[in-house]
Amino acid sequence: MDFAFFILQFLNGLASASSLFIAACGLSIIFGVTRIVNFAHGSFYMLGAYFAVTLAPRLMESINPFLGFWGGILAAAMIVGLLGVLMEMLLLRRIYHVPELFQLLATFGVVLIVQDLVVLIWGPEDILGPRAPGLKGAVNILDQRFPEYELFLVAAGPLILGAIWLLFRKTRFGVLVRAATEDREMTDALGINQKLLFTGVLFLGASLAGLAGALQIPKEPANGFMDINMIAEAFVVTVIGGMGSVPGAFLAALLIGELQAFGILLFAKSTLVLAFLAMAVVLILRPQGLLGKPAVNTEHSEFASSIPLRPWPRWLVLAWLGAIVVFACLPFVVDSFTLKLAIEVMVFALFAMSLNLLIGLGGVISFGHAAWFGVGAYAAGLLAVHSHSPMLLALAAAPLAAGVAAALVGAFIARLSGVYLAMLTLAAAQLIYAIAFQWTGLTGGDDGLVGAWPDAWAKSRVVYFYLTLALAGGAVFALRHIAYAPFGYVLRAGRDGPARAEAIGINVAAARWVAFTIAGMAAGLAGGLYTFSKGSIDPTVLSIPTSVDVLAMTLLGGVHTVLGPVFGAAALHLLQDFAMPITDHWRLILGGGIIAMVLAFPEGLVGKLRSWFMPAEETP
Amino acid sequence: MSVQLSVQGLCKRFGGVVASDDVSFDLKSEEHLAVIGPNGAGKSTLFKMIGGQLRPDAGQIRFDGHDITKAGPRAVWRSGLGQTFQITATFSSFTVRENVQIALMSLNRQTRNLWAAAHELHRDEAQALIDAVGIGDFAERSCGVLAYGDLKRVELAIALASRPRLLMMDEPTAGMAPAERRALMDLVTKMARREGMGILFTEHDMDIVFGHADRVLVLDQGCIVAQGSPDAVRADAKVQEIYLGTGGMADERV
Amino acid sequence: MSVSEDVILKVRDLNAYYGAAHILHGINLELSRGEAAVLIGRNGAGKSTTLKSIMGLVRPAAGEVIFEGDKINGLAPYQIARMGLGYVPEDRRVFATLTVSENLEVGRHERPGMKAEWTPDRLFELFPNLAEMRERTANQMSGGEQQMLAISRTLMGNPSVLLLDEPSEGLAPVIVESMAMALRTLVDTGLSILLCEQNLAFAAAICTRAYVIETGQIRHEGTMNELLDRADLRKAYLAV
Repeated sequence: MDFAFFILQFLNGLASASSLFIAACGLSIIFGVTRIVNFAHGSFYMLGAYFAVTLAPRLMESINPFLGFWGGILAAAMIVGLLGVLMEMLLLRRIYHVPELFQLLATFGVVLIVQDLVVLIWGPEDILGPRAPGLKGAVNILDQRFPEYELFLVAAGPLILGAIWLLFRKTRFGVLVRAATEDREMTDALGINQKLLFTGVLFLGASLAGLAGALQIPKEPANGFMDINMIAEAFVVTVIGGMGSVPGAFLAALLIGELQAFGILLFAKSTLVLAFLAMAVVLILRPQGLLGKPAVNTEHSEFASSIPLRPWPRWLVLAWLGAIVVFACLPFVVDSFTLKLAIEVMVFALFAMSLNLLIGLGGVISFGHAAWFGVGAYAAGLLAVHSHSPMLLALAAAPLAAGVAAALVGAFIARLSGVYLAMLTLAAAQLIYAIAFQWTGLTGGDDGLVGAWPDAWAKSRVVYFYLTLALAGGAVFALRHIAYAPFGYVLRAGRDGPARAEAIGINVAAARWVAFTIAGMAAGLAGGLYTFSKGSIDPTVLSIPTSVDVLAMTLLGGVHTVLGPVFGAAALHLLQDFAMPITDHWRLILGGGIIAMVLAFPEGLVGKLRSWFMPAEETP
Repeated sequence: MSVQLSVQGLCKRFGGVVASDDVSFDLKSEEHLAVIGPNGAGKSTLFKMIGGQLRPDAGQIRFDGHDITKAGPRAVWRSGLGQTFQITATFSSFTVRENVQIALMSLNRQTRNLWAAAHELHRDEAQALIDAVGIGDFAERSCGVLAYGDLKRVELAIALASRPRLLMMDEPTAGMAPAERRALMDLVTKMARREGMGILFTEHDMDIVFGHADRVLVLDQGCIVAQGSPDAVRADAKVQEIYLGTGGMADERV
Repeated sequence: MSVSEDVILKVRDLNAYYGAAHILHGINLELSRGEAAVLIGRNGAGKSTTLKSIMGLVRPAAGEVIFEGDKINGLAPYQIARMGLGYVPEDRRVFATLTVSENLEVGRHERPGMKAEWTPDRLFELFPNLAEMRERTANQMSGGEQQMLAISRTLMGNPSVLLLDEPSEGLAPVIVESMAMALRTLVDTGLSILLCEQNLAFAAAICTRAYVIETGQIRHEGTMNELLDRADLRKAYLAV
């Protein structure tokens, strides 16, 4: 590779590093002070782009092109900053003290709502933005042409870093932000109004995200995928840099930007793979990130519970047997469409149960559980479509492939906890998503795989229903059995009191790793069953929304119940199925629902019912 | 009596702070040894190093003749050294009896068992242990709703489940009502004497320390400043100075 | 009892828990305007918890805290601080990556209707060591310097009562001595101080009245001189 090309790739890397840094540093600042991982940061970014493509052309027309363009960019950033303030006052203030999983979910609720609102306001089409006046051309660098706007971006990152540095050193607000990032309680005791400070921080963080989005408009049209695409990369950058560290985010963005610029020469399609590998290496060497401070070890999970697992009373055993018999009679009374729905409910029930093994029993927040469902689904689909394997072989391969994948990823993230683990599971899922999406030759890319139908003997929907009932039902009860077995107790012990568990000889990390593998296998089986029930498969099964769906099902059922997720899955899937055709605003409803659920009853549906019907534990 | 626990030249620094500075002492088998000292003296650091939660920078820890300096908490526990924590750590979603059952499952290497009904495993043995610490009647209660004094007893039963030869307790009576403190410590001492178990503990309550220890060791700023019988330590001028403070401005009455 | 009529801080029947652990069992105490009193006891007796409960950093389960005639328990710590209660925590908790000037800036608060008494320059007169290290970050300072910074930072909020949690802990004797002199100077300017200590000599150099605390209860209250004269009290609650 010649020198000029090398320099140009390097500059490209710097430009994308700048964009990444501006997008990610706000996330890090917000986390540093509020300790909330703000999923909606991607939404702020997307909104920045939409406001900019709306405002800039109008201002360019009414004032002048130069002032209009840059005025539009700044106005977009300010408006997004104000939306951040709104979110802090309406939502975040109510959830600073709830477990971090609920914080993540609530901010993801905002993501869903914003997605629908964007479609409502701006329509589903991509919107092209104007090019930057004065920066439309290209300059010659070593006889190669390099766009002026990219050169501007190369400078923008360090400029923003400098501006933040000045803000943090020279203003009272900045000093307070740094003080609060170090010791929030102490600033409180010194008379600093936490609410105002947090509101200010949200303004700063959100406007930076908005600015990053607005600065994208000469490069890409405003579109509805900007939020999710950006958030995974921003997570990677903040985790590598160290949560809460702005200079760390800058270093990490440089690393990722350059890795991607040069990595594209090696693995043309999977630049995210490199980013993920870089993150893996950094976290193994320095778990707190490049410039982060070691996380304070929480003595027990926020999911510790005070509700023991009691053996089922006889009436409950009979009720379940009765319910299963009634369910098994469905094919005799309902039509084929309802039967299909019943199959899907069973699949999702198993999927949600598998997640609850991690969250409910282990206190391990997995935010990318769709990965294992997807790996199972693709394993089964690939075998069926490409090698025409018998269905049962494909169904056996699904949990195996997912289990192996989960074991591999789990091997280095099972030791982590809290938000780091949540963010890494999400990044791992995005990595697998990227592979499925980009490896078109094998997976069919965006179109996915079609023609994965059951073998002739199981073609009838009734037969497939019973097959699913046997496999998914069997797996659900196997998972239930594990909860009552010593291994299930070990998981809960690690959740309730990790230090105590270690002091009685329990290897908590190893138990979590085994749980990760078992949960991956169960989710993979669900994925395999899903493939043959649909006949086709595409990358959405691996996407973040799928992970969030299954989280919502699990939480709706109640994490401290054994079979609650089964009900959560049924309720949410049926609701989704009935609501989708009659409303265009499903995400709005789901997002609002998730937020309402987090605010109103974090113990879940079944947990709520139990507290009504089951005798309460007496307190001495 | 033979030496059961031998600590030699233990050092630990955190940044510029010396938490443990060449700490050496022996604990003879069946001996009850109390470690006292002001805040920041290095008591918790010492316990964490012995318990395997912290790795010392230098020095050696031997227990029953085995080097456990580099052993993690699990290995330390298996070697026969049980512990209770300053902040009670029981499993809040377990019943009282199950808290002990899980320790017994671990002792019998059943933690990977996916099949057995955990509720039924080692039930009688666990019941006997919670009977012994006086909370047998609460066997089916959730630990999450227990009074603090009872939680301390659950923790004791968990630690005793592995039949340790040495029990290490970090502030066993902190947070308890005064009347409960003595009762708990009387129980521990009585059981230890019966089983021939050694005890190493820290405590703020001086009545407990002088009423229950065979020997007392005083730490200050990471160093051992005195050790000996309770009476000898009480009479030690240096110890009084640490507790009452002179700081170069002594009022002649202090 | 030498409590004057002008009580600035009053704590009544305070009970506090950490989780299930009952730490404070009905603490009662009073601080008069311009007075320095010590809450003395061994470690683990409940001194820090008492101060944290007054400051709103621990929510007391029962009892009242009355400051300048107003009930303040239930308020957020920042509101309590702004009313004029200054808190200097155990372990100092200075902002390690902030400079001396920046640490002072965080504490700065002018109380409405009152003249701002404390400025960095006045504080540098009180603690001359600090003046030479305005731009040094706190993590590069010695324990004694950090303690002076922690006190200065709190004074920047112009409090009328200073709650001090073991300022002598872990400091060299010569530093302890100059610390005692500085605190005595503060009392002479009219500041009220509630000090938590184990170090009797240090407390005696500053305070005129003492509360002896053990296992979350006040065991004795009286003048400092009484405590110094009564070996039985010291033996029972302070010595080993």
